[in-house]
Amino acid sequence: MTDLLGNEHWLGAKLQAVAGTPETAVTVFLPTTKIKMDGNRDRIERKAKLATRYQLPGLPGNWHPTASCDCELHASQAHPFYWALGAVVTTAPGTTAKLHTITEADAPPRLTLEANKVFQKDRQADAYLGKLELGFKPGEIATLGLEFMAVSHDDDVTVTSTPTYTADPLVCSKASVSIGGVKDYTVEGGSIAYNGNLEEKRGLTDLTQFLASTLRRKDNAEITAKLDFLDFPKAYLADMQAAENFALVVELTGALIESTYYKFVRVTLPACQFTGGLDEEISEGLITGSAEITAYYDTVTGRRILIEVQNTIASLTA
Amino acid sequence: MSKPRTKTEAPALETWQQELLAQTGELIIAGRLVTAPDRWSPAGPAPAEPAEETAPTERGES
Repeated sequence: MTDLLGNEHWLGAKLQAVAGTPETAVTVFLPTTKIKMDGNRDRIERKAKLATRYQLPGLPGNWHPTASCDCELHASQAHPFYWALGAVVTTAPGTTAKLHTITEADAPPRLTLEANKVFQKDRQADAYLGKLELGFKPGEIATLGLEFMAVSHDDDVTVTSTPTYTADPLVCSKASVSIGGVKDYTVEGGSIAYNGNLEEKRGLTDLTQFLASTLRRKDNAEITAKLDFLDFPKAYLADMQAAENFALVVELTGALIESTYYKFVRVTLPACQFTGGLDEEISEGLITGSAEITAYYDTVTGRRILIEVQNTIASLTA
Repeated sequence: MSKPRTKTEAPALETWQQELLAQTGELIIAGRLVTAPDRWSPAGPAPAEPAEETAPTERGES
């Protein structure tokens, strides 16, 4: 009897060299806790009943391929940040240590995805990472939530990829949140989300029937954050009411690489504003706050978001 | 009738896996921890094996 327990599922990706041509194997395997890959094929409903009185079965229609996963964040696996934002510059501050500086670009890179869904393996080509959410909570491994949109989907394919994982998860015991340049240790957790605002549109094509033909950015990407405080952040409420902006820096620190160089992931949102969430109903209980934050364009640094990752990986674009 | 047990061997690494292993020091490949043979350590290179073992010295009572 075939074992259909879901424990051995996996999701892998590889940067795709040629549009419309899937890579034959994937090389970046995400340490997932759950995955989803679906072709989401439409059914084209019949309009006429052809003298039967009853609705006739629909015809197969367009695909709307999507994939998603929740995974651990590993220091050696900064690739999803690059996939979402689109630009990376890698430097070598030490002999072994590599510093990847990831910023926003006009278009994200194109990926081939493969998923082992236990009962079958699927492949999607020309996929973009549309949404990314980094979650952090003291005492737990930092997490990533990823949502992909693709142009093609193949069900039940034969794959030759061997699941290969990095082994340096970032435990959020050594992390700091800096608000306006001052570290705040009353944050009990939070998240930073990047929404690329991608959408799929069908256009006329004479090449391939029923494929999702175009992915486009329907609006500017949005960057938001959420912080949960242990105590009510009275000082930040004053900032919010004054409509001032502040820099938010979240840093997750990993193991020593060499000399004074540590593995880390640092997310900087240089111009943030609170957008709400601090209104609390006052009762007899402890008064805390949960702040919703939006990142805006910073005219000083010329960016909205900066992600710096230090590890021993030579390149995120290979 | 049960099949005879065969010894499983470490999988042969593909080129990209060898490169990644050299960069990260260790990987989990198909569920097995694989460590780079010349793994770099923050404490410096691993000390060379002593040529011959020295006999443990006895501690005297003070």
